Amino acid sequence: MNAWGILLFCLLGITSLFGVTAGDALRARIAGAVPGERIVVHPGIYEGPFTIEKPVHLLGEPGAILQGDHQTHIVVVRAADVEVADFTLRGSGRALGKDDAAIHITGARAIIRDNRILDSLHGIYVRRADDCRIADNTIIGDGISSDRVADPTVAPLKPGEAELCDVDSLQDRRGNGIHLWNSRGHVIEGNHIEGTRDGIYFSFADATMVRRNTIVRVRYGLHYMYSDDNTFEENTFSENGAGSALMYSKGIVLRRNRFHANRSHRAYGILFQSVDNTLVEGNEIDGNTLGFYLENSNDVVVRDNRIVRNYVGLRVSDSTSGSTFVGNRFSGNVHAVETTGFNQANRWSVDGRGNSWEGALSLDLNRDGVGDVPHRESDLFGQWRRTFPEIGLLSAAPGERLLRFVHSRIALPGVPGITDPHPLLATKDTP
Amino acid sequence: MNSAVAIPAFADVAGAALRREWVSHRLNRFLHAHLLLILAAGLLPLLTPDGGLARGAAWWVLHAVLYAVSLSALLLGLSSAHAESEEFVWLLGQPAGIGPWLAGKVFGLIALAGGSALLLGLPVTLMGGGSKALLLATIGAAGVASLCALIGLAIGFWVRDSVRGLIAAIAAWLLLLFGVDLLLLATAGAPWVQQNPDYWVAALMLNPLDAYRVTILFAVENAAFGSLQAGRLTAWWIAHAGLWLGLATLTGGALAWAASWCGARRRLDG
Repeated sequence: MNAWGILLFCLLGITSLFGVTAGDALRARIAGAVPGERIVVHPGIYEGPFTIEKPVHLLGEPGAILQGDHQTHIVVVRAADVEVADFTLRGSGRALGKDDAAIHITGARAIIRDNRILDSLHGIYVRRADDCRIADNTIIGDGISSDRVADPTVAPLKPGEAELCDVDSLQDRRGNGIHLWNSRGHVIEGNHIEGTRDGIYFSFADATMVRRNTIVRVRYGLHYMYSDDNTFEENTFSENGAGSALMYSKGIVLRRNRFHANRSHRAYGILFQSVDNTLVEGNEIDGNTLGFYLENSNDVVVRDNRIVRNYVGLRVSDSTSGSTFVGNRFSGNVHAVETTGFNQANRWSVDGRGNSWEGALSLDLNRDGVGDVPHRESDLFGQWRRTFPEIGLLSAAPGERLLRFVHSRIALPGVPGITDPHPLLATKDTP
Repeated sequence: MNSAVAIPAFADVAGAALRREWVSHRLNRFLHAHLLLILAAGLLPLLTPDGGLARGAAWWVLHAVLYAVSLSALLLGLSSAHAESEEFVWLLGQPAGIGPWLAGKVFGLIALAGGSALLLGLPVTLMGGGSKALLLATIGAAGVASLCALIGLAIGFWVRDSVRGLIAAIAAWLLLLFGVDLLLLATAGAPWVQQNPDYWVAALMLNPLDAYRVTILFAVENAAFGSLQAGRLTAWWIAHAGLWLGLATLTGGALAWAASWCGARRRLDG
């Protein structure tokens, strides 16, 4: 232990003799700091809560722990331009109605980085504060919830501040990893979120960049509504109870993300409901119960994605129109595409290039990598899924595969599905 | 002088028939093809990319059994029956009767077809890709392969002409593989079927290839089927898929054995 450590230890001992805790000392330092000051916090346990009402940099040394009182937030950021970095935070309150969080932010341009958050309701909660940067934090919740998740297409998610915390039981008092409400312009990158209620929650949060985050074993990896013009790049959402649901929004970009192994019985890799003017490009949608579901979503461009090894690769309702599917690879799905009709309001090729389909006829006389005959991807079960759910037992049956094969060569009348006029043949350039 | 012929014990005759089955199959090209097929099907999952070995292997085994091993086992059983065609008169004249002889033959076939099918999951398991689904797929494969071999045996005893027998065996396989599915697909839209889905599901359950496919699907895609809000029979099947597959293969095997016994007692075709 160096001299500073011994001095700190003695100071802590002396102050505790007079009833002044390490937390009190830190609160005093924060209160006395001048705007822009760097407050370096030495290793130790500091009892919260802490409220920051001026622009300071609160920086922890390795081993600095901010301990909540299990009654309210641990750190409250009220001022603009505050930085909180390199701490372990644990023990926030659990009051759902008060949105208790490890770090609760209402000041603009906050920087929250390199923290480790445990034993808290919400991890980082941003409320009416713009342009925050939340980076490289690790947020660990209490564990994945039971899989009794309401289907968002049947019981739509509700917008609001704390609606996600309507609990089914007192035992399920968990918050979200990162919760954004009524704000814009954030950068959220490099965070690892695990075992919280939802991973990242957006409600009325616009113009935000979300990249390189990893979200595993939560309820909704991404729970998102009424939020426009946001970009998601290179994130991983895996093993989540219900996958990722995006609703009632527009202008989203989803690029090079991985939606993997979301496999509860109502899990989606991605769910779009009433999402418009959006680009979905270069993502890997792999091993989910339902890979990608578009409901009532218009003018969505779905381009160069790998949709592989899902039970259902792509479900497109007939209420979805004006959307374009091009350059995607469908492979290893039990059902590649489910539709409720013939899906003629969407485009399945652009400029003579369609999608790559498993089982497509490899006839390419001019060797341009594009099949010479259209590919029909049928959904033999169609409306029977609703009127006769037992039909699902014929999934991957040889008879069903045989009929699909025949239909892909000779159009059978009345069979729902989609037609790709220019199917891509698998090449090394196929995504 | 005692002229009575001593009748050998059932177990002795069955044991002798089993050993005879084993020895005669060593030269059987159907068995060689069957083993090669098993070997190829067992090794192919190792080509599964992106760490999907554990999940992909069960899929491979499922498809190998549906589209290849089932037919191969059926032909193995058929060849086993036809191998004895020139000796029926002699066999039927033996004092022990055909019961113990057939028992030995049946157990020999089960050991060959079922035992070899167990090898389907071995390469993946050795490479560290073992899983519960793969174990189920492999054990199920052994059951289905044994059942198919016994069906082939029964067909061979009933249709002793080799060409006709081959046609009958392939027709039976096509019926099991595609026919039942197509029939069920064709009837799925009928109002009566939709009002009485349990009959439709029961037909699916009784087809061993469908029973096997659905059991593996339940294991690999159990989340997807968990949301299948179907009738009581389907719910029971989802909950007891492995048990049903075992019961179905055992019952089917017993019926095929009985059919073989009846077929073997016939002296001539037609």
